Amino acid sequence: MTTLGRAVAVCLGLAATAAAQVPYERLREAASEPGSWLTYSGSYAAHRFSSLKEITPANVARLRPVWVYQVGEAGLVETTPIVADGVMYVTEARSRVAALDVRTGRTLWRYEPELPKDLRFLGYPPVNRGVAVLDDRVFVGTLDAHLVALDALSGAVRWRVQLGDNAAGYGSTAAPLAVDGKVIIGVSGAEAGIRGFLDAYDAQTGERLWRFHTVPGPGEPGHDTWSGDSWKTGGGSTWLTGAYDPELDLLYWGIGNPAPDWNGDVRPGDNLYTCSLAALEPATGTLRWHFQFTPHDTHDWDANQIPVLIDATVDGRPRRLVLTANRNGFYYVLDRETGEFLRGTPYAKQTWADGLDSKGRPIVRPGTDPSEDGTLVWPSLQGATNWTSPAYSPGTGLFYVAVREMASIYFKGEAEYKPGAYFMGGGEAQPPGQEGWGAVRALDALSGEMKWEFRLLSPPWSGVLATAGGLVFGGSAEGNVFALDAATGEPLWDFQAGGPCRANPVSFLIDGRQHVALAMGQAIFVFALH
Amino acid sequence: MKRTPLFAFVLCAGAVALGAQEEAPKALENPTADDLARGRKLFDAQCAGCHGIGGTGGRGPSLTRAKLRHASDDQALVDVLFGGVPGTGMGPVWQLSERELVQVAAYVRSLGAVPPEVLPGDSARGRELFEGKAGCTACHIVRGLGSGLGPDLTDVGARRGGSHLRESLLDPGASRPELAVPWEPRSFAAYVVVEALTRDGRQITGQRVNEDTFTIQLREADGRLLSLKKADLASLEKPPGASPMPSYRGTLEPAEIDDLVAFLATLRGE
Repeated sequence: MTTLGRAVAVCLGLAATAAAQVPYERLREAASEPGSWLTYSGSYAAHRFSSLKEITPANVARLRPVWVYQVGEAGLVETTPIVADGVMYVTEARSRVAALDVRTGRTLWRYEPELPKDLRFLGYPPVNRGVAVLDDRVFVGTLDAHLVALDALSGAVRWRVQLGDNAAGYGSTAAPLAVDGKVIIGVSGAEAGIRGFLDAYDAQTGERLWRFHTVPGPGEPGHDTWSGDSWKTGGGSTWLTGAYDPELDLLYWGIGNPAPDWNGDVRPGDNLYTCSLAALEPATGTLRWHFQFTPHDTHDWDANQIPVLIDATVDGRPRRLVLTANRNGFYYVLDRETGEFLRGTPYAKQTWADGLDSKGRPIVRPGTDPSEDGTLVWPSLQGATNWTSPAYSPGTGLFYVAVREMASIYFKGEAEYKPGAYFMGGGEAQPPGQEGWGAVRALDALSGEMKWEFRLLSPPWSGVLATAGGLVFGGSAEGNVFALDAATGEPLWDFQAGGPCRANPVSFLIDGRQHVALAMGQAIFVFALH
Repeated sequence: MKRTPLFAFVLCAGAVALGAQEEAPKALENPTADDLARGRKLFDAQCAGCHGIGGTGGRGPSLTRAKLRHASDDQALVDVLFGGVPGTGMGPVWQLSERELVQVAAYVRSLGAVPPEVLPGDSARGRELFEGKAGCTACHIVRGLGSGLGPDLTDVGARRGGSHLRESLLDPGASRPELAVPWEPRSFAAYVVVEALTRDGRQITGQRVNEDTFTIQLREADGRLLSLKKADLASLEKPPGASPMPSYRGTLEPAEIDDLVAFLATLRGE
């Protein structure tokens, strides 16, 4: 090679490293790189916690918008932005991806998948909750049940694979999770009677490495918790991003409700592994353990809520734990090595169970199942919390969760399976005059005891972020963005963004300054101290 | 106590939304007695909370008319159930199976064959009361005349049956109008009475125009707008069952109530 050629090669090499490169090692250490937000929940332990300290209770009143990105077309924006190396990656309705200059919000590239005219999204709106980044690629799941790998530099498609048949009700809305060389992606569609699964794909080639069926087939363990053919349309969506423990090398993934949702007569049995947390080996998808929160669920209480991993001393012994606030109204502490149930307690009003037994199984109250004339139960169908993210602060030892205080009247109805159509067997209605409300609650992470509550006017569809600066950030369904004192729940700052919040906040650095970003209505707002 | 049954339906669009998928089912051409019976049972359980038993109206409009505003023919009525009416409290009825949905539509259509209510009372005398002794124009607009503090009543007779109109006069706090808003619970109780005490000791009574977690916007009795931060309030109460509208029980004779109801029933908009 000539001297010039070598010089060009060196220059090109430098340019290549300057572009987005998020190798697995950076993802693994994401919690130590608070200037970025590299993965959906901030870190594999899923704390949604930023160790940035610039914004504090003393100065947060000076928080102001720095820039706003407006999504061009109508549709709910449920994205968690990813921020890496000067670029913010966001997703919009209809599985669209935008790469923005993080300093100004100006668009660098867009990816707009062509979706079929007869696209089906049964049981959820046409949303997307975020991308995953790994190496020089950006990964997104699409409504027509595909996983797409995009070039981080330009948005060009590297590969695209089909996860399932959208005509049968499969879709993807969750942010994928990138681990070492692999992309893990879940599917939606239990309301259409899919048989759910979790997949792993080779990040370079798009080859499927394994598939874990959330509803076991004949011969597979757990199959005997279904009768007849009901397993074929058993549901079990995997539609939220799980957590990962690199030391134990275990993935933790929540699994959704069985189908049909409200008519359990056609599927007697516990219906594993619906409404469960599964611990899987990422190399093979082998199930190491599972814990079922709501056996034979008939209230649509998906257990997809984010599993939060912490290490703590329990009863004098250091334990590796997984914490989760379930849709069914109970907060759980499990051992994440074995799935052993350690603690469980209600964190919201619930009228369907007289507590949990020593194994964590709910003691179901008779007469709380859906019925033809309607059965009034707390929590509502959407649950005491829903898809949005909780946060954990190692500083306060508190688990923060957005709570929905609402009841439903549950109806049982006909359930006739037709591929690609609703398969729910009933539904819900609101008791008249009931004004549901919401709250951000801070629970002691180990006991689940509520330490404080900040009430929201209406039940939220948004999650929370905790920071080392001592704050909890969130949004409301009436357009408020707010900051609370993480120790006391006192509201310290709020901003009216003009559109309901249906997303989770993140924090990162721009030019050494701490910023907080949150999708509000049809826009993404970025705030910093004035 | 409300005479309407316990249940009301509000779409939980957060969990479920009808999107770009199959079209609405075909309306039943010849509904059988069984279809109508099933439709009625479903209606009473899941629709009557807003529309009243027998579709006579309540928080939602009366359906006992041959011509429904959003449903000119049988298929249009099925379409309303399938897709909802955007901008109102009527969302898509996602939870019924196709068969159940067309049965409910057939039942609703049959309500139009019910002969119109015969109301006692003289609507001409009712109009005099409305504009005179009852003082309604101090808070209500009809055909552009009156005051906008309370709901516009120009088409209230098309939307509400006789018993609901009577209830509004005798027990206005029992059933408040609702506005559709994009957040849960999707029907935002309108004309809610709010009593607040500011931190510097000022007592405020007004009706709520809007509210979020941190602020509330009120209108006082004289129409003045107050925009308040909840952090500036020592207390904020919404007395249940209260209404900015007074009850006419005792202030008007029973015959006068009948006359007013008869007049309101004639207000059917354009």
